[in-house]
Amino acid sequence: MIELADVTYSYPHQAAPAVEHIDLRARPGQAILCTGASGSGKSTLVRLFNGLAPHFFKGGLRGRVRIAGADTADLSLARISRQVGTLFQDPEHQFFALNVADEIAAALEWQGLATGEIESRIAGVADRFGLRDILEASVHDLSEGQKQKAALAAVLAQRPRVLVLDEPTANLDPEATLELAGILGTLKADGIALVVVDHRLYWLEGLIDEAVVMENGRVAHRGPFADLRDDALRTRFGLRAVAVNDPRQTLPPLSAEAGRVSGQNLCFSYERDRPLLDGLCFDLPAGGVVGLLGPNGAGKTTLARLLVGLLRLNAGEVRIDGRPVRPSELLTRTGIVLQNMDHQLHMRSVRQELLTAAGTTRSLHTVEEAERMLVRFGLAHLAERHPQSLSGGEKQRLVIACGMIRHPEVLILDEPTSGLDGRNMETIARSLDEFAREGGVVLVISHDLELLEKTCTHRLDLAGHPRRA
Amino acid sequence: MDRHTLVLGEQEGAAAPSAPVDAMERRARYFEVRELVTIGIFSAVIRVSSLLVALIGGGMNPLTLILKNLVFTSLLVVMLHKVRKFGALTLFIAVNTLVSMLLMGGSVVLLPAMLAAGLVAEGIILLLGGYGRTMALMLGVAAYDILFKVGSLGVSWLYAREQPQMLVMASIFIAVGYLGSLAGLFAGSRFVRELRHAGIVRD
Amino acid sequence: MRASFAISSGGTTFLHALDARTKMFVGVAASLSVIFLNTPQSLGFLAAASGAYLLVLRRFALAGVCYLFLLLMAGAALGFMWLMHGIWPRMAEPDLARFSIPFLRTLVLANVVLALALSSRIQAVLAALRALRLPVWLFVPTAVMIRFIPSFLKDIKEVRESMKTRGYGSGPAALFSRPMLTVRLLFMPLVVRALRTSDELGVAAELKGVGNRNAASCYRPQRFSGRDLAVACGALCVLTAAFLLQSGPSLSGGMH
Repeated sequence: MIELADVTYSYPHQAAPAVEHIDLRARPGQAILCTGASGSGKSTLVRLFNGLAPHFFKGGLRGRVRIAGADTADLSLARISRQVGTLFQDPEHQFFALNVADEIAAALEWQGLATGEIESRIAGVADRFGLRDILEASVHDLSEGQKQKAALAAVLAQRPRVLVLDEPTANLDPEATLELAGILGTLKADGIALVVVDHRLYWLEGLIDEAVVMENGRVAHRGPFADLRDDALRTRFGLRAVAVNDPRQTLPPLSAEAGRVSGQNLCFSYERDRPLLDGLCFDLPAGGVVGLLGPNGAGKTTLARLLVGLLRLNAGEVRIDGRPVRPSELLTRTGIVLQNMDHQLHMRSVRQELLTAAGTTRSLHTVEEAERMLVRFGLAHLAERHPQSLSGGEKQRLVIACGMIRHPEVLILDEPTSGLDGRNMETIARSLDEFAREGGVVLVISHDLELLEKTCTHRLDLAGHPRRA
Repeated sequence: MDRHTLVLGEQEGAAAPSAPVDAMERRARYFEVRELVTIGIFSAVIRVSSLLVALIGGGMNPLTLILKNLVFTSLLVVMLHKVRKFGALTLFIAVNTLVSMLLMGGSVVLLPAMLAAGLVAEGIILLLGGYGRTMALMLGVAAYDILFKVGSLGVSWLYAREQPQMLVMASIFIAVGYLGSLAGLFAGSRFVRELRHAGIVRD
Repeated sequence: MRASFAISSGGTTFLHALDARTKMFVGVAASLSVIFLNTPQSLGFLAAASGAYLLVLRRFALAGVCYLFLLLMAGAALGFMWLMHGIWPRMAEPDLARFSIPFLRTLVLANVVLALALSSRIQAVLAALRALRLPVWLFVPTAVMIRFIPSFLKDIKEVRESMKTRGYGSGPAALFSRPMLTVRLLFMPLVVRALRTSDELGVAAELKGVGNRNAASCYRPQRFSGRDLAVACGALCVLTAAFLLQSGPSLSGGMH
């Protein structure tokens, strides 16, 4: 169905090829997995499969990429995309329309299909993915899982024969991840060839027919999915776990003992008469890494913003070391690493970014401290690089280092490991552990079960938080 | 060239590989879709940035005026480094004037004046060496901005001709703002150098 | 206005049910007409009519705030002109009667723009743009611009939050004390975001086949209703009345 035959590809202005001598094939109803550490060439494979390389990114291609026997060199990108659908990691940035139905219709409209045909295809995918009720919803109001489903529906409405998924679960919670696995299973049964590129592996058991591990632009290992159960192999290639426990139920809840940071009867609502937090009480222990849990819309990110002073409570107070702290003071005594890394990087070099972050605190920080942070987060060799030129994992390490260099008493991280490989996830887990051992309080909002399992000592579950008596 | 080797250079633009492809879908357009998207995105960012400057600057004051213009021209310089084609500036102007006219009460009479300003500015860019030269882009944007401001002043006269003293006030604001526009040319050029260093903008 | 479009939600008034193109037409017709109208009577009539058009939305508080802002701006302009007259006596003293004419023009424009902004969802505006049958090279950037203004407003909020958490202010004080650093902290992330979004959306557009045809089909064709026709005719009647009022024998005026 889709085949890469001895493909070597180089981006423009790059001397070294991004991938070399790749032979891959996905037949109808077959699912292949491409995994590997960051920078191993997975994204380039996605671009070769969907024709973006070289049609969009230009560059040089040797070998053949064939779809149903036709060489993609002879097809236009629009023609390729009708046969090869692509689902990206963050669909919101690629939505052309503002509501679900219009987004599904967009590609069909540009194909010039008749109104009746478009309506019928929208109805078909809406029924299949349970989108009927949100067809008119704004894409901004959807949960990550709904966005992913809407994007998938928009792709499948074009009736492709191959589906390429690029980090499809990076922003999904475990439930939405399993739901996606179920959907992919039915697509596979329908005869669609699947190419999945992902760091997270646990959800792919039973779906994947062949697993390919990439390293330095080459296929380093290929075999059945079961091969990935080999610990040595995963460690060698920096892969994530194949099986993970769900620690959300097994983590101990916060104890009733007084903690270093406490929330006393916290109340907050965005709209009058619809309280999001109503009398929330908790104590966060020094030296603890607390997983902030709860379903979408439970108020996890809102609580994080309240704790760092970005939002103001309607009632209640936050105490540190037993003393109430005002929101303006919270901003200087706490730190938060928000989800969007690009918004948190401003300066010309990695070193400057750290020094600037350190320079705004009340305590004196020195250049030596920044250097120590660079070493601790494995960024020393990148000190003069522009922060925006770093890989996803490197950026995430940098923003966490910037959060820590200010020595906050509480550090909150919102999805710090989404889209990161095993090695980067380990580095971040280790750094959080060290920060906690030095007496800090860490609060982690994450759908990443591996991170929760590795780092968290307690859970604060907003689904069943203690309310005012 | 080897039949199995396909090389597309950056300069080849929308040119198709030599192969029997359905011509309707592969026909070359002067502007590629990605360039149209870039112009749209920068139009949105520039609008939003003006709002941001007004928000943080606390309304009408000289610093806000200067910064608003600085941000405008610097973002325009960045955009023109990303879409290096004759017509990019004029299309940007056309899009902004259209949105302004249809949705923001902007005057219809501004459209021809703005398009003329864009074409003059693009002519200057071509005369000074084309879109490949940063200095040409900077001078083109500087020319466009002054023509745009003069044109806006002309339209303001239409709306406030009964009280021409208001135009004196507007002229002072424009002069102060133009200082920001000139500074923005250099800021934009520095942004571009930095973005090249970061690998986000390429030659 | 930009924010208004972003927050406009479904409503039940007469204006909400109008096609966005009709409201655009009213806006363009008003902006063109006020250039030629130049008497307080004609412009006052038009301001009253457009005010009534806006008040159909029953957003009285918001309209009040906007009017207050307009008055403040007018006050500032008058104050400035008095100041200029004080410094430079050769400059004529501001005349309230003459000053009312540009003020009324602004009021008319504010009314029609607010009516459009507060009663139209961005999706409706995008659909209207498509229905205008603009060429691809004009439609694509225009649609992208309108589509992404709300996204970038959200980004601004996040960038400012990120600055706060790093200990930087993002208000006037920070701007005046460290203008270059503040501009850098605010705009570097936005520029990068703009460039990355351009790339990502460019890819998505290519894969969706955007621009491959001269005109896309439309699964939700826009149709004018009777009320659109009524409003368009009503607008034309009001404008005609305003011109008649201006050129009437009992009133002075006419275009200078």
